[in-house]
Formats: sequence, C-alpha cells, structure tokens
Amino acid sequence: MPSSFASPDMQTPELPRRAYNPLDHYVTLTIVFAAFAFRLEWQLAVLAVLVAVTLLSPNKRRVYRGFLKFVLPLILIGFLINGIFFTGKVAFSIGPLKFRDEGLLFAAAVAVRLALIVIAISYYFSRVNSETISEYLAGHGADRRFIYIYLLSVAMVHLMRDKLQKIYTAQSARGLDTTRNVFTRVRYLLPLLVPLSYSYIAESLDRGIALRAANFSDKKPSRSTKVVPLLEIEVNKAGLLSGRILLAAAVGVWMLRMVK
Amino acid sequence: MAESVSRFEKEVNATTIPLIAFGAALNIVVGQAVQLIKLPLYLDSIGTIMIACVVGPVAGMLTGAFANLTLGFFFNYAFIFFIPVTLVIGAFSGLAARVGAFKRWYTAMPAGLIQGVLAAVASAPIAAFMFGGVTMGGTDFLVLYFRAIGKSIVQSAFLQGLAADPVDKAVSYLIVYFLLTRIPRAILLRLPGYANT
Repeated sequence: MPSSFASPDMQTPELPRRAYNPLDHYVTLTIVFAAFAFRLEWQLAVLAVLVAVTLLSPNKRRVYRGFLKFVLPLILIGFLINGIFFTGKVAFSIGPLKFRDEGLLFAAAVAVRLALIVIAISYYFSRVNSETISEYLAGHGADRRFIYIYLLSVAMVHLMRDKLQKIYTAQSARGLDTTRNVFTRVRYLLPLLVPLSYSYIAESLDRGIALRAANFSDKKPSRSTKVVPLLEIEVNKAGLLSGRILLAAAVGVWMLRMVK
Repeated sequence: MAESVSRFEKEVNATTIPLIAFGAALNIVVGQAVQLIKLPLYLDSIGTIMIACVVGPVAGMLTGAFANLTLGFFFNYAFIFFIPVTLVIGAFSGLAARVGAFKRWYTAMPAGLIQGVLAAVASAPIAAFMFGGVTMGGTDFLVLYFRAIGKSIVQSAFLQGLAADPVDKAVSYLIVYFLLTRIPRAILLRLPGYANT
C-alpha cells in the first residue's frame, strides 16, 4: 500500500478569484447619506446623476424593476394623500381636489429620498453578487456567523417555497378549500406550516450539530485567527481610496452646512 | 455588559444559528402561504415569534432583522427600513415567552394584542417620515381617513397601524402556539427554549 496518495506533482488548487471594487459600496453609502443629510435641491441633483448613470447601465431593468413595482406607486399615493390633507396655500386644483404646497413639498422630499436610497441600493446589488460581498465583509472583520445566517436564510427561502407548494398541492387533494370563511382559512394555515416547520426545525438542529462538529466557533473569531475563505477577493485599491474620499467629502459638506 | 454579552453568546451559537436562518426564511415563506389561501392578513412575523419563543429574545431580534434584510434584497429595499419594528417584535415575543405567554392559547392571544400595539408604535414614525404615511399595505385608505379628520401624519400612521397590527399579531401568536403544540416533543426537547412551550 503506498505510504502517501499524494503525487509530488499535485498542487493545491487555487481559490477562484473575484474582483471587487469598493467604490461601488462607497458610492451607495454616499448617496444614502446624501438622501438624509443634504437639502432637497442637492438631493435632486444627485438623483438626476444617479438616474442618468443607471439608465445607461446594462442592468437597468433589474435596477428599476423593484422601484417601478413597489416604490413608484407608494410615491404617487404619498403625493395624493399629503398634497390634499396638509395645511397651506393651494398650489393647484384638480376638480374638487385641492393640492397644498406644503403637502406637495413634503411628499416631494419623501419621494426623492426614497428614490435615491432604493435606486442606489438596487444599482449596487445589480453590479455585485452576494457571495463576493459576503467574502469581502468576512475578510474585513465582519462576523462570519451573521454572514452564514444571511446566506443560509436566502438558500432556505427557495427550498421552503418549493416544499410549501408541494404541501399545498397535497393538502388541496385532501380537501383544503380556500373559498371558506376567514376563520377557517386561518385554521388551514396549520396543515401547511406544521409539516414545513417540523422538517426544517429538525434539519436546522442537525445542521447545528454539523456546525459544532466542524468547530464553527460560538464566539466571533479574532482578527488573528486564519479563516480559510471560499473565494479570493481582489480589491481595487484605487476604487477603495476614491470611495473613501467621496464619502469623506459628502460628510465634510454636510458638516460645513451645519456649522454655517 | 458582561451579562448582555453572555446572553448573546448563549442565544447565538452553532446550535441556534441555523434556527435563526430558518425563522428568517419562514417569515418570507408564510407570506406565500397567506397568498395561497387568500387571507387578508400579513402574518409576516411568525418566524420571528417562533424563534423568539424557542430560543430567546436576542435570537428573535436577529431573526426579524435578517428576515427584513432578505425580504429587502428579494423584493423591495424599502423593507429594510422596518428592521427596528422587527427588533421590537423579537424582543417582546422572547420576553412574553419567558413569562409563559405561549403555554396557553388564552395567554398567547392577549400577548399578541399587546405586541400589535407595540409594533404600531414602532412603525408609525418610520411610515410617517420615510414613506409619508403610506406603506401600500392595503390599509392606506385609513391614513386618508385620519388625515381628513385632522390628524397629523404620525398620528394617522399610528392609528392605521393600530387598526391592523393587533389583530395580525394576535393571530400570529395563536398560530405559533398551535404550531408548537403540533411539533413532536422529541424535536421540541432539543430546542433551548423548550421550557417556554
């Protein structure tokens, strides 16, 4: 029997590499900061630039999908409710509805802030995937426990949805009727959720045993502890410096305004 | 400080971390179940409440936070702003479980009503200042009504939350109670918060 199975020519495979430009997250942080700290006129300017950049990007559908579906209706209803029911001078009327200037200004401030934050975050996640972000954060001192929780919950959502659909089909075949009254339908949740919860609680407890066996530390690992990453992240140093300067400039502008 | 650190380590460890992830995923998946059976409720905190009950308040808070983070990345980043509300839900649910609210259905329901009031209080400022009082949750017509009778944005957002949240949370607490009574004892015994059930 050979004393070692390793051939002298065998090499440890290299980790897959991903490039990451920290400028992306610094730009997002700066825009979110501007959404809360800057005046409305400056926020509008930032929004105009952001919309122009995102509309030119190849991922514009992904960036604006959530915004158009969830945030835009919210903004429009906000204009309606706040425009009509605020006090102040009447800016304009549409039939019997009188829109007040203070309400419209308030709704505009809310709309611009929401648009800035949602579009900036959407744009960031259209450019970077979850694995790269997770490894980057872990490499910079983020608690691996939290990263594990996030990645596991995202994976579990997909699996649990499929399982729920199968349980629903099976229960419908056994007579689950969604046309009954509300109280009966609330009761119908239990035959759906009990098998789902039971199987995933058991699986989670077994996964916990596996984590303990793999020496997944109960405490946050210290910076000196070497943790083997899954990916090697190549950080763009120029992007890191530019991003820090950008965020510092935004904070500096805000502080100057506060001092004045 | 030392006690709070040790409580965190006690509730967030290798055993409970997968449970927290499960609770976060359950919050999202129950939304799908609610749509399948066409219920006029949100029931978006069942995972948070369950984990707060069977592990503890810190784990419950983390479950709620990660659920809203995941919801935000899947659907709409606006959910991220309501993370403080989920922290309140996780904390109160854990404390309610400690005093035995989940041992009987007639103690779970009033605890859920109180939870609903607290959730309305926590969500009102966020809904008012981040979203102008509008949350697209189906009860925005109530904000319209309260504004029409002269209430401020914060008051309208609070009253709108008060109209929906207590019922939603009371039903959520009852569902968690009945879920835990139907899960086999052999599984429940392995959970850190078994004594709360």
